[in-house]
Amino acid sequence: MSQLLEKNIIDLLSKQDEKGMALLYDHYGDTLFGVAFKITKDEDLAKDVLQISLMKIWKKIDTYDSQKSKLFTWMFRITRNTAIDKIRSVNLKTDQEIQIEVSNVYNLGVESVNPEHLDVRKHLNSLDEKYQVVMEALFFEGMTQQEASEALDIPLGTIKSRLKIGLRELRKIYDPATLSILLILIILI
Amino acid sequence: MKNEVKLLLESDLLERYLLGNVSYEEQVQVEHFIDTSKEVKSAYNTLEKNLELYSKAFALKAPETVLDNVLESIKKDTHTEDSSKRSIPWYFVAACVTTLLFGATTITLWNQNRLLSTTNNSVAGQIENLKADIINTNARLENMKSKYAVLSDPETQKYLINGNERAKNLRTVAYINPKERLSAINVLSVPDLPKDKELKMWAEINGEMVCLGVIEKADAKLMALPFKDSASNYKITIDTKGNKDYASIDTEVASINLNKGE
Repeated sequence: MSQLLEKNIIDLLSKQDEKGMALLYDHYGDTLFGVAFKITKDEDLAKDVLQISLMKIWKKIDTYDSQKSKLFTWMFRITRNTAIDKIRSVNLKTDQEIQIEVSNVYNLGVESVNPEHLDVRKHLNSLDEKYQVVMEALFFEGMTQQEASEALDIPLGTIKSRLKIGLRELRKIYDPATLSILLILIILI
Repeated sequence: MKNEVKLLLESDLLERYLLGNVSYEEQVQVEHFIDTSKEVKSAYNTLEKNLELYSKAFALKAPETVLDNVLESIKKDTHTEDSSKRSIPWYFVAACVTTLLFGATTITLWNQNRLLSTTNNSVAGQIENLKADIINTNARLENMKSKYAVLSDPETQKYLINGNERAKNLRTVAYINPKERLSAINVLSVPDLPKDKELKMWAEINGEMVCLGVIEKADAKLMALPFKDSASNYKITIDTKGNKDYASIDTEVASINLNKGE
């Protein structure tokens, strides 16, 4: 289903059909916006990042190679890099203007949170915080493992192992096979 | 190979590749392992799925205005592309006009150059002709000078020759300069002759007559004569055409005796 959807979106975008963009927005818009917000920590900046990223996806769809990555991975890279560039640009501008203002960090209203995702987040919160911190630093803060090691004051080897374990644990949470076993166990009990 | 795969999986290369934080060499290396090792391929697929799941955990309701803005931008881009395809850009027009002007100027200059080249060749030809004329005129001038040098030399003696009864109209003046070995004759008038007759000039050398040439009718100009060192007489005869061997007394119409001065 997911693969069919992906293929359909890619076909439409390749034909420069606006329906492809609408479909993409329906299925990936929230996640990409979440990624943008997680990195920028500002709703307006996140909107800008999402808009710029979607235009890049629209214009560069011909460069996407489905043999090398999933569509989401490709879009995640674009959004993440755009957000990091945006943050750097804003920081540079702020430094140049020598302005010290309190930015609207975390000004996202509760109503804008998709209820579907609250459940997922609850599961995510079940992950040990030490894994979450490492994954956030690597995935959303644009840090390399070396930078994360220095910023979090954790040895590089530990960063690597926590990333692997964190991802493995995450897999356990979301893996349909694991969920099925849990469901069977619940029924049997 | 197994060790390399193990090293790759233990390193953070696959995770960095997932996020696009690799150099070109690293990218080639990882893609090679993904293509050749099922273990790496599987690990990478798992990472991709995890990344998507992990990201979904942070999903937020995306504002509809963003989609509206994106669709509007797409329409604008499409419209701009169509417009740019339809209308000819100003720089294209400018380039065309410049090219045409350049072409026209080139053709005009080429024509002018060809015309000038033709004129140049014509002038060069005329100059060559003038040079030839000058050389010819100079040669004639030298010839004239040599002829009239005879007249102006003090050693030159002038002999007036009148025809006898058989040639009353014959009047010539001969100029002879023994020192410079020059001789010339100026024919003033000649009598009318039958078609088979002609006037001839002879020199008598040691009793033998040597033909010097034919005197043409109406040659009222100075003619050079071959100078003969030991000539005692110059004679003019009316003789049969073609005879250059002897001059008889019967045919003689005028004579100059050099020893007597006339």
